[in-house]
This record gives sequence, C-alpha cells and structure tokens, in this order.
Amino acid sequence: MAPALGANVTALLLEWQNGRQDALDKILPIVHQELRRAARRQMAGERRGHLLQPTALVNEAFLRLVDWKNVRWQSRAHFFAVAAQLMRRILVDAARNQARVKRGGGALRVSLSEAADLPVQRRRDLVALDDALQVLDTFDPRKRQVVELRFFGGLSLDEIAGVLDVSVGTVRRDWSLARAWLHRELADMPRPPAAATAPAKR
Amino acid sequence: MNPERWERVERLYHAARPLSGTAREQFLSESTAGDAELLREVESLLRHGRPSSAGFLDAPFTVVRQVPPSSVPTLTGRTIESYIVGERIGAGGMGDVYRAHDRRLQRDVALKVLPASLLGDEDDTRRAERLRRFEQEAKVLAALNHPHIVTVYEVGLVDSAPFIAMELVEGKSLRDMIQSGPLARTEALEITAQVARALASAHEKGIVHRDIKPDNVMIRPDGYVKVLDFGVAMLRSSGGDVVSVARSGALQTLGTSAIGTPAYMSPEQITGAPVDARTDIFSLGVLLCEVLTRTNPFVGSTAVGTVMAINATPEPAMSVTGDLPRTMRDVILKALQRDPEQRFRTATEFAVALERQAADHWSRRPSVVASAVAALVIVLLVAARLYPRHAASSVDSEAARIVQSADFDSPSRAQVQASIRRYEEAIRINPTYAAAWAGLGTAHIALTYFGDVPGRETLTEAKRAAQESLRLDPSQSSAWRSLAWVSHYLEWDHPTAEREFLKAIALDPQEPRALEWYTGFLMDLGRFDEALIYTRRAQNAAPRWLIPVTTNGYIYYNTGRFDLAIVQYERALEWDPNFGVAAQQLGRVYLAQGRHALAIEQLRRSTQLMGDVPFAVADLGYALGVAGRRSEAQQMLSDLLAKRKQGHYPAFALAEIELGLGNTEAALDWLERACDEGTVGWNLPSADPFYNQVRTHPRFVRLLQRMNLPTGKN
Repeated sequence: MAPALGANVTALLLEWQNGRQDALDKILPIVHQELRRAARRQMAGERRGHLLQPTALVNEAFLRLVDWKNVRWQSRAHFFAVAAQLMRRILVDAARNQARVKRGGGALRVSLSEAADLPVQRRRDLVALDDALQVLDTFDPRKRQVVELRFFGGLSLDEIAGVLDVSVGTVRRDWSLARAWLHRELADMPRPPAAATAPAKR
Repeated sequence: MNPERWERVERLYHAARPLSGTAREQFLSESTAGDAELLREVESLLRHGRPSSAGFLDAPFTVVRQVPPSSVPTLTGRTIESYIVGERIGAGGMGDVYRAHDRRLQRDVALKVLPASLLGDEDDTRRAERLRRFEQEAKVLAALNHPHIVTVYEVGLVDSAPFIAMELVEGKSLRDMIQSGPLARTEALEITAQVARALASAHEKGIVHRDIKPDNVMIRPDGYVKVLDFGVAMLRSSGGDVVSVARSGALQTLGTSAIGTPAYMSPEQITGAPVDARTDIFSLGVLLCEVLTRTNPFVGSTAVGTVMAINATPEPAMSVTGDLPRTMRDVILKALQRDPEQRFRTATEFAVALERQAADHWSRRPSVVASAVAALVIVLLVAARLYPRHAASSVDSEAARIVQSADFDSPSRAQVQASIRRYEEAIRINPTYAAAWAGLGTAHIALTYFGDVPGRETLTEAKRAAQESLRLDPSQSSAWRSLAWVSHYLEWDHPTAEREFLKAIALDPQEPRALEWYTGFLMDLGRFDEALIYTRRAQNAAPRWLIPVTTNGYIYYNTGRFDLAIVQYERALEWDPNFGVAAQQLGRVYLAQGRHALAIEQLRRSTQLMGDVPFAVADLGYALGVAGRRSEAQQMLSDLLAKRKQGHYPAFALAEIELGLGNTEAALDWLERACDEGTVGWNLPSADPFYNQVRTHPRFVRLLQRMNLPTGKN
C-alpha cells in the first residue's frame, strides 16, 4: 500500500467529517477492497482450523489505510463505523452466496467463503441477523450501529461510546435492549422444518 | 414498530430490569396500565435479555477456517528427483510438508511443497524469472548455518510447484507445547533465548524471518530449539511479487504487502512499511509474552485496543503480564515497543536479556560464581547446603550453622579445605548428622580438581563419608551422587555407578549437579545422545550455572560438531567472559580445527582464570606441543615434574603434554600411572579426543579395558 493511499483515506475521512457526503462514497470502495485483501491474506497464511477474526481484519484495514498517527479520534471513530458496516456486508454476502452456490468465481467468495466455509448454522444466523438488523434500523438506527460496531467491528462498549459520541451508559443500555430484541427475533425466526429435506415416509 | 411505542418499551425495559419477582410484575402491570400487548412485549424482551440467555451475539464474530482435506492431492508414494516422499506431516496455507527420504545422500528430510501460485500465473517468461529469483533466495537461506535454524538443503519444482527440502526435525511445535500446558518460566525464557540466538545469526546475514510465531518454533525431545521457515515468508508472495532481501548485505524490501501473522506482526509490518531485523524482535516479544502467560496480547483484544496499543505503548502486554516479575515484564515491553528504535537493538541483546532473566529466576537457588574452578567446586559444595532433619536440639542447630558456613561463594583450594574442617566439626558435634557427612563427601571430590593430593586418597575419603551419610539416611541424594562418582572414576564399576547416579536423580530430580555428573558418565561410555538429554536437563534445572552449557559444548566437541560446540562456549563466555572452563574447552575446539594460535590464546587465558589447575595446564601444554612450540611444552613438562617431586602433580597432566609432543610411549607410561593414582583428567580417556592418536595402540586399548570402558572409537 502506497503511503499516498493512507494520506488519501485520511483526507477523505476529514472531508466526510466536515460534512462532505461524497467523501464517504470514495472511502467505501477503498475500505471494502482492503478488507477483502486482508481476508485473503489471513486465509493464505493461517493454518487449517484456525480462527478467522473479521474484527482483526477491520483492525488491519485501519492500520493500513489510515495515517493513524495523524488522525484525530473522530476520524478513527468514523473509520470503524464504516469498516464495521462493510464487514457486515461482506460476511452476510458471503453467507448468502454460500447458501446459493457451492464455490468458485466471484470476488467475495475468493476473499471469504472459499477459504472459510461458514458452517450452515452460522450462515443462517448471519443472514437472519442481517434481516433483523435491517428491521431494527427502521425504528432505532443507533442500536443497529451499536450491534454492528460490537459484533462486526469488535469494539468495546467504551470505544463504541467514543465512536457514537454518547455516554457509555447509553451504549450499555442500547446494547442490552438490542441484544434482547435480536435474541428474540432470531429465536422466533422460522427455521426450515427438518422434514422438508428428509424423504417423505410412505 | 413505531418509534414512539419503541421509546415506551425501552423506558419500561430499563426500569424493570433491576427489579425481580413480584416487584417487577407489580411495576409492569401498573405502568402498562392495561396495555396487554405492551406488557407482553416488555416481558418477552426481559426474558430474552437475561444474561444467562447467551447467544451468538455475545462475542465478536469469528469463523473457523476449514480447508477441505481433499483440496491438495497427496504426494505420498511419489519420487521427486532423489526424494522418496513419505507421509504428510503438516499442512497449511504455506503448503504441505512431507517426510521424505533422500536416496542420494541416504538421509531423511522434510519436504515443503509451496503453492504453485507462488510463482504467479502469468506467461512462462515471467514464471521462469520468478523461479530463478526463488532459487536465488533459497541459496541465501541455504547459507544460513546455525544449530537453532532448520537447514535448507535445496529447492526444486514438482508439478510446477516449488518445493524446499530441509532438515527433518523430530519434536513438537512451541504452539503444541503452549496448548498442552503452561511452560515453566525458565523453560519459556530459554526457548525464547534460543530463538533469539537463531535470529541474531540470520540477521547478521541480512535475513529477516518475518513470521516468528510459536508454530514456527520446534522443540526436539532433547529440549533443543529449531526455528522453522526462515525467510519463507520472504519467498512467499501475496500479490505475486517475490520480496527480495540480502543483496550484498544490505536489506531491501521490494513489494509492500504485509506478510506474516497479524497477532505477531510489528506495527511497521502491519502498516506495510519497510521492515528490518527489528520486526523479528517485536514478533519474538509477542511470542515471549505468549509462552510466559499463555496469552497473546494482540489476539482477542478489541479493534481500537490493538490500534491504541500499537500506536503508543504495549498496553495489552501490560495487562496480561501482571503476574510476572517486573524485570521480566520490562524485557517483554522493551521488545514490544512501537518504535523500532526503542526495542532491543539486536537479537543478541534480546537473547542476553532473556538468559539473564532465566538465571535471575533461578536466583533463589544458591548463587554460583564466576571463576571456573570456583564454579566447579561450588558445584560440588553448594549441593551440600544442608537442611537438617532434626534441628530440634541445640547441638544440631550448632552443627547446622557450621555446615551452612561451609557453603561459600568463591572457593579456592584453601576454602575447600576449610569447608572440610567445618563439616568435620559439625560431625564431631553430632556424629549422626547425615547431611554433614554427605557434604564432606562432596568436598573431598572437589579437592581432586586441585591435583595436589592423589585422586585415590581424596576419592576414598569421599566414598567413606558418602557411605556413612547413607547409613544414617538413605535418602541423601548428594551422597548417592558422590558414591556414583567414585564408582565411575576410581573403581570403574560403571553399572554400579549408573544405578547410583539414577538413585541420586530419582531422589532429587531437579538437582542440577547429579544431572551434570551423570552427563559426564554417559559421555565416558560413548552414550552421547543420552548425554545431550541430561545436559539439557541440567541446564533447565540451573539456568544460571554455566557448567552444563560448556558440557553441552563438550558433547558436540566429542562428536566432531565443532561449530555447534563453539556456539555453546560463546554463549557461556558472553554470559561470563571470565569463565575459564569455557575458554579451556573453546581452546580445545580451536585446536581440533587446527587453529593453533587461537587455541593457545584461549588455553593460556583459561589457566590464568582457573589458577593453574592441572586439567587446564595440561591442555595448554598439549596445545603447545601440537602447535610445534616444543621448547615451551618441554619447559612446562619439566616444571610440572619438579612439582610432582616436591609433593604431588597428577600424572594425567604429564601424559597429555607428552602426547602433544608426540612421545606416545612416555604418554602411555604416565597414563598408566594416572590410572593407579585415580585421576585421569577432565573425563575418562575414552571421551577425550586428545587420545585419538593412540586410540588403537595396544597399550591404550588395554588401559581402556582395565577401566571397563568401550574400546571402539566413538
């Protein structure tokens, strides 16, 4: 990664913070690409059976993309907000794709699903979580973001408070309720009945 | 759900959460005021929000990576160039590893087959260019020659995938060791120190490992450490670019993609900045932290936490190293400095710090001294530190006090004699004091080294004292050890000696002197593999004690592995530049290599450091003769003869010098006399390469037979 790119993303983050919405549009593809590359690297280097931690990928992307010695806290916060959201998108896309095709072709599958076959249950959970988060976003976008930052970005409650510029207490309450709500939604989610895949008895 | 209603739900949820039982029920029914749906909603959320209802949301998302085992066709059973490929012994993203047999050189090797994509997928010209560069890099790696680095033999191609043939290491990885249970601190420090030594050697040649982690460190069953995959990270390309290194010694990084394992990568490596040797120091710091605490400071920490830590100070390491001694933490934190300038400047510096730590960790044990003879004697005496079993009576405490005062830090001949007097005094006060008898036995053995009394006399005294000690208390480990010494060196009853050594070790398995003495015994019998194991055990039991380090070197010297021997001696001398035994044995190695001037310099130094003890003097005289400085050797010979006439000087020393002068018959005369006297040198002649020149001489063979030693050349 050329240092120029780091400076670029840093500058874009600043612009975005200063209200330039189009800056975000430029950041997204760069971060997205970096996350995929980081995933590929981690896949290539790690041993069979190792854990893949998307949160580590977010980390790595941040370190590589942002001139982190020269950005203020707010820029970091914004970066993590973006990266966590993208990570969610990547993982969920991978899960949805895996559910459809077995393997091969496509940038997303190369980056994640090919090397890291998501177990069926994880796949379902991820897709269901994504659906639920979309619903949650309609009436409480901040809680949606708290979940994203925590689950896909790996941030602590303190860090989330910094990112969202609210008190830790608020984040804790948000998390508690969002978690309860999601647990309920996921528990109530209709699962494919076992009989559907089993041959009918005669 | 509409936001207003959600707001009400939220308010009620948080208000009701701290309540329980009827209080909660009452509160909810009152505040929902007949809105049954609202009540159901809040109740169900409270139910699902219980901390006990753990779900997959509670930890950040992770996936276990699963590679289908069938994805790579096996090479087992195939023949590749001169290699017959055996079972697959490892697999990973970096390729599969097979056990293989090299028909040409009749040796077993490890064959690592790298992904074909390493060479890129473009046209043949570019592939050929990449392959050429790959081979060039592999040559650099093959030039790495260090006992703690797995040797690369050659590289080649199989089905257009590059492979590396390398030394096969039996043992397990440090990762497996960490996972199977906590390592003792000294063990953790010593393993890390050995890795640091390996890094230092590679760094000198301009090679950076770039992927130091527990998976790449193998521990052989004898405790010996081997670093794997040196520079393989460098060969590997993520984007297809082969990263280049070591051009005319200068370090240069082409390509910018970060290669390595994130949790062990240095900040500069993660950010894709150019890296140098200091990135390995950072990674080794992470490894050290992990082996000491079983926690990797950068795994499982949150995103911002990692960034902050890497940005400023090694904070995550601070939190996981809380239980470690402060100096040990300091070493970790120094390696983990974000700024490469603030880390250890070299891997050697890191290694020394680790070795110190290992030693300090042992400092609750009796301290060990610098001078060689002192070290030797203290070996013998410290063991006699006594823990009276019946300290109730004042007589016993007085005896104990006297005995304790026989334990000293810088022993000379006079001090050994003084300690003998103290033990005797303790025994006079309490004749049934078993530990004092044992100490007396050890002290008499120590006296042998100064050479002014025939060995047979002191060793007979030692035996008597040890037997008395065991009669009073059969569990005196150090008395068994003394008995074994006498059985081996004086009576040449080696089976008995072995039983006694093993008895001593069984009674006190962590007592380093028994392990060390037994190592010498094994060497004399030509059992070098076992000797290596016991000298490692002695080192682990007493990291501060340099004798086992030199003994380790002596085993290598005896088996002709001179470069390995030198590493050990240099390690000892780096720790203590005035350690005479290391200087003496290093001199022997130089001599064996034909580097006479260097040898004589070291040997002369060793006699100064050790106060002219016979075994050092003898070596110097021998070296002078071999180096052609005959008149000096002759002069030494006549000086020693004069000494012998006045009182006593051990015959083995005279034998050695005659041997150096090429006077075989005279040498054998003296050696036969040495047998009668009961002292024949540092080790028995069977394990002394000096005697190689007379090894098949009928008189020498008879001598070995008389001592019940193996007569074949070791």
